[in-house]
Amino acid sequence: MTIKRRNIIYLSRLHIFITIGIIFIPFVFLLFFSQYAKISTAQLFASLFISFLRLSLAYLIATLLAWICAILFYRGRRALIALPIFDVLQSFPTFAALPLAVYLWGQSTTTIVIFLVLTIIWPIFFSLISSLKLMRKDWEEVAAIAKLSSLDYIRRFLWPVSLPGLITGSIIGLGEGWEALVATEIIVNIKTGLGSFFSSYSHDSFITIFGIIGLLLFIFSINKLLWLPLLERSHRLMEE
Amino acid sequence: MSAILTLKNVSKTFQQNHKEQLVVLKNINLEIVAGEFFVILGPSGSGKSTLLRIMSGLETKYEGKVEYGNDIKPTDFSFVFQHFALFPWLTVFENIAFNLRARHLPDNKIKERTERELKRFNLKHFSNSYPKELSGGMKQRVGIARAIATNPKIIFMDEPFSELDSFTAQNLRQEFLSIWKEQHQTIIMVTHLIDEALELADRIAVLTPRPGKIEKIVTNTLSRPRNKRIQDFFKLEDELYKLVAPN
Repeated sequence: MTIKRRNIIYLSRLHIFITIGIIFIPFVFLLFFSQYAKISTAQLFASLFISFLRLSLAYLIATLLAWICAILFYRGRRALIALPIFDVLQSFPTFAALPLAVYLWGQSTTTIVIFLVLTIIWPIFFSLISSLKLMRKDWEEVAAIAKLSSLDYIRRFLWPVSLPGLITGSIIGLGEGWEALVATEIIVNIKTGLGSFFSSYSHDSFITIFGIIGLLLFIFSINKLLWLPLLERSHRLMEE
Repeated sequence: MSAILTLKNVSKTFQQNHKEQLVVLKNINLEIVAGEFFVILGPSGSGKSTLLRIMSGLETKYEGKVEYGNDIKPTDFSFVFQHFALFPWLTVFENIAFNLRARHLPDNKIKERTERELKRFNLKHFSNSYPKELSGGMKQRVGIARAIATNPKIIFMDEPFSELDSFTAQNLRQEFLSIWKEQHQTIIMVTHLIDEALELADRIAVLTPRPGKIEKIVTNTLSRPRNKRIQDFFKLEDELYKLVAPN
């Protein structure tokens, strides 16, 4: 009897269809909502798309930085020095740095992206650190005996070990990122994105409330489509 | 026969806190010959596993000298772990192939060697399974297959059968012995079980309780396959028991 590989993200075809179905719900909702509220559908979708791009860019930068820092500082003498410093830095209220960011980079996408990176990076970094610290010692010894090259050590060993932490941290970080995104866009007073959309319709509670519901549906669908299956998969693969 | 591994005055001390030091091993001198089955026997806390880690290069902070035979490279080592140490995110096939991939062998060579081990250890039907789907005995089969796949010259084994029930352990010991008889790598194994040491070893180094020192090296001349119910076996067993038992 051959046991099938179970490293798949989705459990069945039905799971894929349902998940893909869910991703359409917010778009259909936003389409009807824009028609009903007599606002420009193109403007609504453009705002959502621009904000999504800003968040995605910030996420990619934050993930890369967090992962490099986690690999460098998860253990040894470097960890003893660096982790308390990172701990203090993560408790710094990021919004307090916003005026300085606006002063340096103006009312720009750069300001928003940098601000988002500072928000997203900490949950990802600390989640990666816990994943790496929980790594079994004998796994490290297997890797040591195998005499992996530095690149292989990262690719074949540290990457899979850090994956559950990366996914958990990404879910938390992106949650905080969405929250900070709209607020930052409003505070920076940039003319594009969801912040600008909500700001310009702030006098209309109907549009604001349904806009928020649409945004929540969008975030929920991304989680359902991507993050939750990835989280389940990574936990499945770490079971011994 | 030439020495494949020589230890000269090896000692190991752990720093417990700023003031206290724990001496785990003291002045260990050993010479292990190529192709022999060498067992380190001792009570818990005698530093057996630490000594094995020093020999295999996993532990690098120690006093004294560890020397390897001229043609021995670090890639000639393999290690079998007490708790199997299989990667849960890799299938049985990929776990066995792990050390081969580290050596950047061509894909067809990796496939060929991994399949050879899968066949040898009766794991073919579980090639695509994950470790969590296997029993303890099968997990250790994968662990041993992974160690053997690279054709190592020295295999270090840290209590490899202690996590298994006695029946499975007995079968796996016999399987491992028949592989060793074919290939004759040097095996250095740690155990706290006298019976196991006598069943497998050519020579047995008995360690004292902490700090671990070599009490005696016993040569086991019993012919293979070893019968555990003969007078000579009992005699050696008694001798080892007296050495290992707390005073």
